[in-house]
Amino acid sequence: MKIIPPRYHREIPRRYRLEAEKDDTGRIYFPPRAAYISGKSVQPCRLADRGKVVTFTVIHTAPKEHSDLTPYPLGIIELDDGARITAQIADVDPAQVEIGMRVRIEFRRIRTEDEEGLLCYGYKVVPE
Amino acid sequence: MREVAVIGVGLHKWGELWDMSIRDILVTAAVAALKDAGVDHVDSMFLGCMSSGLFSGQEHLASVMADYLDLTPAPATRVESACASGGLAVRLGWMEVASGLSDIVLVGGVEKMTDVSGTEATFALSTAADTEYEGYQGVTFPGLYAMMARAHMNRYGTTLEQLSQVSVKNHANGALNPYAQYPFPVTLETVMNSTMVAEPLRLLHCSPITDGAAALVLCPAELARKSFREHPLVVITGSGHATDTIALHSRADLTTIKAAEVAAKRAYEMAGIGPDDIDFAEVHDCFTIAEIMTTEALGFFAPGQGGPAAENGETSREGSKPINTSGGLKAKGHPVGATGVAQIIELVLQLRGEAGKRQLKEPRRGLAQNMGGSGGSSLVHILEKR
Repeated sequence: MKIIPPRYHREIPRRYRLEAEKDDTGRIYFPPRAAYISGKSVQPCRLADRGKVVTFTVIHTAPKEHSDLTPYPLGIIELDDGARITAQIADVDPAQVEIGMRVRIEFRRIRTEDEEGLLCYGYKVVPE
Repeated sequence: MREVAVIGVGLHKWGELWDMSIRDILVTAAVAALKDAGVDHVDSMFLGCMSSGLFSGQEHLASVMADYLDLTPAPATRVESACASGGLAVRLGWMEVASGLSDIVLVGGVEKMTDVSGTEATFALSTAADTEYEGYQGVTFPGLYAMMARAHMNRYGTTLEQLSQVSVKNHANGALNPYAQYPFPVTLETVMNSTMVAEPLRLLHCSPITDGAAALVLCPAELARKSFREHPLVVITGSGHATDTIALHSRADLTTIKAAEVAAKRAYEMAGIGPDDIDFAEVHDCFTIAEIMTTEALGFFAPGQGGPAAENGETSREGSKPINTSGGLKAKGHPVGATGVAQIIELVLQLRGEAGKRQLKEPRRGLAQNMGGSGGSSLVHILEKR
């Protein structure tokens, strides 16, 4: 599905700048949630840019917008502040990825749409 | 609340049904259920369907259902909870009868998945995950369950052979189900050498794309005892429903499916029983790792023991806890909105003693667990023969 500019633009604070929120206990909400329902007060924060691989896969059958990259490793990353994200693991031989591997976030192109589509950017992780 | 009975079930042969539209398959299953029940009217209808908009370009499916069954102006409600849409429709139908609002309720589930290309179908299914924070990054559904599989293997030592054995077992069951999309056995070797999809999951660890519908007729147990005595009485004694985060990465424990565990706890409490009292179950094996994780979440096996149980034959038809006697999503097929309804049908057929060649020996209680997405929602129902 093509992403139209307004939809892309409104996610930029999270995808480009890693903007999140933190509650009194240090728990991170990324993206922010309506935490006021449980009475928590939250402060704006930015995600840690380093962490480790919690689990991963190597995608062989990909969605159309990502099919030029197959096979690509992709994992759930626990950042050093405790927040978790899903991200592609770039600049690494898929066979070398393992649970516990240290990684850091980099700003990368994420999706390639057709001629009329947007170039879509965001975060991937690479070996630390 | 009134006790609710399932008095009619309707299915048709699932598969790639190029000659049949979403209307055709829905009507076929619904008419079969109404005939099986022998009812002469319907007070209300519920329909589970994940994404007829993306798959068939047709929304407002509740009206389509009422119209094409010639049941207007009876109320009809379409519900969506991704791959758990069918289970949710069952729960809402059960609620409507239990509450006293309606007596005769038709519950349907449908998905017509082959009217779009494989790429479009994959996209439609991916919308059951977090589109902005999972899908955008290039995750697929096999990829999400592959990451759960890797975490489970890492923590408990679950093996690829165990994951593959689930597929072998479900295909062996499906081979005995005339309604199954893939009614044939597969060998362990075939499963383990099939095309890689998302490491470590291969094609034969994944459920297929399917066109299919399923339908049930519900009524108060008291009315069933009086007026619908053709089949043995089967009642719903427990219904549980729970949610979890939409994104897999937000869950504290990637090796269990919390929504299934909580939904099961609620259903067990309502039925006044525990996992040991369940004779057999239909669980949501969208990927073989899901069967291993849900049989643990439902309390049938301790955490980490789902894999060994599958390998030791405990979940086969001859085992202590038969799982997915229908063939499961793997062999029977997985038309997402219909799956949760069809699971209930397998329970009813087994409890009535009408399951043909795959019939278990006089089971009394069965459980069905239906799951949305990577576990963002789950429904559990318990059925008993009276």
